[in-house]
Amino acid sequence: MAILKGVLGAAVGYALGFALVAAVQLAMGNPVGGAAPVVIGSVLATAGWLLGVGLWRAWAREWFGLEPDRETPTGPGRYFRFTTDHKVIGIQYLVTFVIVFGLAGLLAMVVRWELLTPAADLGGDAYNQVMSLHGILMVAVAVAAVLGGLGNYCVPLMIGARDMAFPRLNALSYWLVPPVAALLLTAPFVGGWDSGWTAYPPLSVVNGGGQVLFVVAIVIFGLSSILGGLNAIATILRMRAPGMTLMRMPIFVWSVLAASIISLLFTQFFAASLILVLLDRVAGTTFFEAAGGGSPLLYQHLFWFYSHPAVYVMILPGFGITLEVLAHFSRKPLFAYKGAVAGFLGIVGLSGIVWAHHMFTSGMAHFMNIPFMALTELISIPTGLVFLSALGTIWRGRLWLRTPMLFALAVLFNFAIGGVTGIYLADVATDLHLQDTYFVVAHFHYTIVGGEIFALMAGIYYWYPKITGRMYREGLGRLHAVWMFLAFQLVFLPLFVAGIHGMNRRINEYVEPLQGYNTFSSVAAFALGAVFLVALGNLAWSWARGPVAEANPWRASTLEWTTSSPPPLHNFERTPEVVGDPYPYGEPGAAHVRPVVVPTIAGGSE
Amino acid sequence: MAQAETYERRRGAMALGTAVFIGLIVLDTIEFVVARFADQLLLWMTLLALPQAGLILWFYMHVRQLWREEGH
Amino acid sequence: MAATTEHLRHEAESPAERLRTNRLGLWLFIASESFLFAALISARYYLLGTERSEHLNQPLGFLISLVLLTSSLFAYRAETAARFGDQRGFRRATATTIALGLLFMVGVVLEWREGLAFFPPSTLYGSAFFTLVGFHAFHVFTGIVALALLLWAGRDGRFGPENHWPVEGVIKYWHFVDVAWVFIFPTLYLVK
Repeated sequence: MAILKGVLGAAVGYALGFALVAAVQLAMGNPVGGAAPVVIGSVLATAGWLLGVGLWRAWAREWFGLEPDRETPTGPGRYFRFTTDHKVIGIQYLVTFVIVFGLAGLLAMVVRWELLTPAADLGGDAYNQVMSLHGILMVAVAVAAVLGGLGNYCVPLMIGARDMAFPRLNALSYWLVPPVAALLLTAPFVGGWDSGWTAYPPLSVVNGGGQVLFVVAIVIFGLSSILGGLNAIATILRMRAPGMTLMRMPIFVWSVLAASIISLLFTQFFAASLILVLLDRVAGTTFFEAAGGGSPLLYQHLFWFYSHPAVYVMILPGFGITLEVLAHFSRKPLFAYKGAVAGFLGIVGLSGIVWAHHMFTSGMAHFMNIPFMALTELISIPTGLVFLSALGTIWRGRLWLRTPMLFALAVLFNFAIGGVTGIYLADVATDLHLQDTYFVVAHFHYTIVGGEIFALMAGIYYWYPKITGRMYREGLGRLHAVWMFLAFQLVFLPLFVAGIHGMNRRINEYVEPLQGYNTFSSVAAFALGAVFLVALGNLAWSWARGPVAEANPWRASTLEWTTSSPPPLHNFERTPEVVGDPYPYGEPGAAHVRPVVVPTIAGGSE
Repeated sequence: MAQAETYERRRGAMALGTAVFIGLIVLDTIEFVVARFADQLLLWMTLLALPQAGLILWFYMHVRQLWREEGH
Repeated sequence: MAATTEHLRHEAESPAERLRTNRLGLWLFIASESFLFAALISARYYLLGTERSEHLNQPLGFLISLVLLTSSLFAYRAETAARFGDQRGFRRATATTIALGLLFMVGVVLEWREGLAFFPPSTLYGSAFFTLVGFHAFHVFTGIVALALLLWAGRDGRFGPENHWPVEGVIKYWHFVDVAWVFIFPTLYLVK
């Protein structure tokens, strides 16, 4: 019902925006049409969607001095409504982005299908559009699945809060996502776009009409990301339970805080750079057109000033989950907790001053090469601290090799490869050779998929009993972990070599001698894709039919495990009181939280 | 009695607002005049814009409330 | 089915605590917005250095700066009046702020009419000028809308010392828009 109203609102908004611009065009004696009515139409459609789906009912009425509806919907219908419960919103995020992940994964299969043989099967244009859509959808997943999904669900629970600091803003952040998906998926039908997720001009200023929808979609997604970051920071700084000092927070909460600082501030640069592209296309400005005195390089500076820090938005919460799981499943206090926190904050600090290492071959001034190389390589210091913390934690621990732990260990292996190969790309001399080859592709897939997506899987399995109140099949979980780990190595290791031999990225044809690597990688990729069917089957079936989970199946120490699975609407029966460090394993007498009665059976929120 | 005190506090707050406003106008005018005659304008403009922003942030936006409890 | 539990959510939080949380949220938003203006201002310097058009109407720019600064004074007065429960003063000062905001917009329109003739958006300076002023004017416009809503919602005298946050929030935003202009004005009109 709410969604229907939202769609209606979107239709009205689009018609209104289109008519408005068309009227202005008529009045000025210009031909009606072009991109401008579509842009304004899409923006107003988004506003109409939000108002219809619940913003008006639950919030905007207040701005006009009317009484808003403060009811919190219950029952299964709440997942399809504008609701303020952070747990519902977390699940909305997770399910949405699992679907997007599946879609983008299918596109990856198409990419690998095209690259199975050196010849072109698909055609260059179609390939470029598939590759571009795969890229941006996966970037969206990487930015929002962990932060929006697990961050939303777990952070308030882990700090002993009843909800996020701004529950309605939280709902707004989520409901901004469907328009983004709608716009991105409409784009292929109006000409598509072929400039990858990076949308570099001059191509992005002159290519197909889908680029306009891409820009509008990403600006809206940026807004969602900024508001989500804002909310997470305010929640972590203001909503902690008594006794929960900053240095007693579970490490995952720290990683969310660090990532949120980046998305709050830097996302504006991505929005700005894309809006300038839009203005070049629609309003006739000349920011990026060399003919008018503009500079395509300006785009790359603005773009990477966000998009390099964005990779830390992706990986930091991944590190957080990894350390969290390693501590609980090694049954040891997190090693060098303060070092890991310093590592996170050090990464945030450095993230804003390394962007131009993406531009060594772009034609920027040469004097910038060496400073950016040095600054980039400095990042290995805070990253090293995080690794030190991880290795120290498992060192002589009693490892409990359940599914989450297997994924967390895989993150360590994968990210070590991703990190070490990054040094060759940060180094100007080797980057000149490797830039825009499959070495780069393999590198960032090792960091983002091998790091963050593996961590996302660890997190999903780890918190699955808390979120669903059911237990998944452990055997299938382990199968998923091992299979995904092996297949992943087989997909991307050969691509490093192909890259070193000069295989360019973003091409659909390649020379004969590179076929071996590609065919191998493609076959492995199909195997990697297939494992998600197993995972999906396990998780979906267990949600409906799995055995009921206890409140604390892992016997873990942090706050989210002291309440029922799933937690009641208000999270805790009594506000918990924190008395010590988050991982008091093996320390006699130590405790994180003052003992509370733990319900042993699920008491759902329904 | 309490009413008189409130009245005084309010008058003080309003007077502060006016004083800050005069400061802003003076700085803005200096900025405008300097821009017509001086060189090294980027430096001058930064030096003159920062105190204006500071005045607004400190007195009009009460940025101090972020780290200190309500003082008034 | 629905449970009215909104009141449970913040039962641990006193109104004073909620106020501090709201303030933090707004300041974070302002920090984020200042990155947007930083991006646009840095684009101007990247493309043009300190070069500017000779055809700019500097006195008009100065004039609208003064108008915007004056509007900040009245915004401050509106907030102070509301904090001391003076409904009439609050309404009058808010209305004045809106009027000055509209005057600023009129100035921008005059400015654009001149500018379009001398440095249209298809020139490099025009690109920077119209984009920066346009973004800022959009913020002024949203500020005017917010102030108008404040005036409308507060017509029954609901804002006062006990219910101050909506007034404080909107007016902080208005001041921020002024701060942004304090940097944009010299960037576009004065630097050479």
